[in-house]
Amino acid sequence: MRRSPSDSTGAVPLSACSPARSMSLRLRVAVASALSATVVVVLAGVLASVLLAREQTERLDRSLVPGSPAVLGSFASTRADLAVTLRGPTGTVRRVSGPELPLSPVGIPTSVTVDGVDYRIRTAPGPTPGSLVTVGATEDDTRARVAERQRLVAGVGVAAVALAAGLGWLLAGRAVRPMRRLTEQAATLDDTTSAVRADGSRESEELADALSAMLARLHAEQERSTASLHAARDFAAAARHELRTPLTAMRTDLEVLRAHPDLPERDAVLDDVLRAQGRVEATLTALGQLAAGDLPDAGGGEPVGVADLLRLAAEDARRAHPELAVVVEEPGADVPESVRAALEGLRMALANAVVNAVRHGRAGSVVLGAHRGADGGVVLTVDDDGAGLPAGEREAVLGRFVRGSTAGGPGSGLGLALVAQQAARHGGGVRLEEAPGGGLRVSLALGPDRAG
Amino acid sequence: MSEPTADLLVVEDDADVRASLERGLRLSGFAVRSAQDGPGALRAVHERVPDAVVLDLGLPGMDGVAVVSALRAMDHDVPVCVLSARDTVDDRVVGLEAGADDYVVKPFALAELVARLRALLRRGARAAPATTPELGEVLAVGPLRVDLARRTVHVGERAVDLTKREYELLVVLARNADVVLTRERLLELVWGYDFATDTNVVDVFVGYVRRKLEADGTPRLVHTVRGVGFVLREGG
Repeated sequence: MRRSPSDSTGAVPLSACSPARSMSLRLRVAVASALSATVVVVLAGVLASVLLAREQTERLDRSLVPGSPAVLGSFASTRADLAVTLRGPTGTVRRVSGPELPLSPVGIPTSVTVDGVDYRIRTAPGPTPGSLVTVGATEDDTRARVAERQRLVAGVGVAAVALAAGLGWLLAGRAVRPMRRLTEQAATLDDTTSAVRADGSRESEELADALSAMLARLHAEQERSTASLHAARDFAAAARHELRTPLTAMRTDLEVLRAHPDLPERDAVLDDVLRAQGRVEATLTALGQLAAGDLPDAGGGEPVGVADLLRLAAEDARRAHPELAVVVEEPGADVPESVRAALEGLRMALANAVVNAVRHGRAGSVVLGAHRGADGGVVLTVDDDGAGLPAGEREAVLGRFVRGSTAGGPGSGLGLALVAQQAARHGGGVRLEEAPGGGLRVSLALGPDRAG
Repeated sequence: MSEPTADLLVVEDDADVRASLERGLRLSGFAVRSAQDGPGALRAVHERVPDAVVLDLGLPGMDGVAVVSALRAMDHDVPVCVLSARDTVDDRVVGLEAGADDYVVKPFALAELVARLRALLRRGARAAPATTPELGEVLAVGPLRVDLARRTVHVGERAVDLTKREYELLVVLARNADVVLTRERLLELVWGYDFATDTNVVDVFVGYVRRKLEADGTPRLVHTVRGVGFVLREGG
């Protein structure tokens, strides 16, 4: 679609977008007012003509009142348009002025045609008993008068239609001005526009308000997506960083193996490569779990027995850390027996808390327990007898890729972040504090609405 | 190995990377000591100044940039190659700006790191006698004056404070004023890299030198010749 010259020079560049343009609102209003004026004018005109014709005929009829034949005769002789016919009792035509008129029922005006001329005639009893006088007048004059007035009515009607169209055009121009302003504003909308205004008519103001509200929603949405994009980017950068570290060790080790095929410590190097590979894998697994945990918990979770959950988590811990002493504390009577939760998510969170205790706390034993929180919700705890964590770092290590200063061994920095994520997913939160046994206690609180 | 065994200090907080780097560099013919954090690195330098330092930027607590700054503040001009785990420019910018000589991005090829370290070490050894020019030997280009004996740089009346590597880059450019030097040639003359290496360390350092020379609105002296390299000259 090529732009027409008028489009390319127009003040509103949007007008070039659509191939076929509808009639402008202004023209539409003008046409509508012209059409309605026409309907009114035609109705009024037809009515006026009918009334006019009837009124003229009645006037003519009233003029056909026969007087004395003498008077009639002398009057008729002065008027070419009048004719008088007098009939005696025997039906003989006694006196005629003008053409002979036919007989019509007495007293009823009637239209007749005599010698090709239209007459309005009326018959009345004559001056002598038994005689009848018929007076007739040509209808030409009357018709001409009616036609003249009809032309006048038609002329006034056409003028009224034109006036209505013109007024419609003018008034519609004023009415659509706010819309034009709105269009201009809409055409120049950009990221910085927060509202549009088009005062002047309620519709345009409502449209402007609706547009402004839409803009606000779009801006809010844009900000949200920008923020989440930033978060995702930060997260991706951190993930890349986390993966690079073990990959660096692996690459160095592999290059050493290639450069020194007969290295005596070959097995140790291979062990290191495998360990680094394990780190990459663990980080990828944790990233996958994080990504899955970020998905909203649509179903609200399934009913999970608290005691069952602790038993399962203890089995997981014993399997993953054979040398670790795992104790399950029987939940107290005040603890709800079950919670609505994502079982796999909570198992994974508890497993990560245990890994944290073993790897970074160097714990020899852990105690899994469930308590009733201050808000009535269930609080799952993992206590260890390890090195603990300085109080100043307890908040920070819940962040992604953050490792504590006392962290030992390899780690992704994601373990406690996963615990925090699962807690948040279940409407609660995580707290790190000193365990009764001296190590670290990880408290995973579930929201109170999850109980039962 | 014809060269005497060079003494390296590897500063890296990640145990796996530290172990593999120690082993890899040792098997490449270096004597390697290691430290796992900033204070440890400074202690090790204090005990015995190494011939070169391989320094991770992302150390917990005192980070790599702080270590480089501390080393330079203590007047150690030992070559420092920083390891960066991020490929965003900002990260290595601060490391090099603080006075490091080169950087590699993790994961890197050990052979590449070894080649660069050898070059930096050779360069350090060779540069020592060359840095005693005759008193009063001054390179002047436009408003720029480089006093080779005093190792000072002035633009007009303003003294410009450059790190060692920035200074060496500027001297090479000033000695070859009006001559376009390719990135490869600059890598060779300033860093001693006589091997093909994929790095934009030259561009980064040219950026620093420019910023410092042009700090008070002085017209550009170090020009980029697109597709070729850089040239120091007055005017366009």
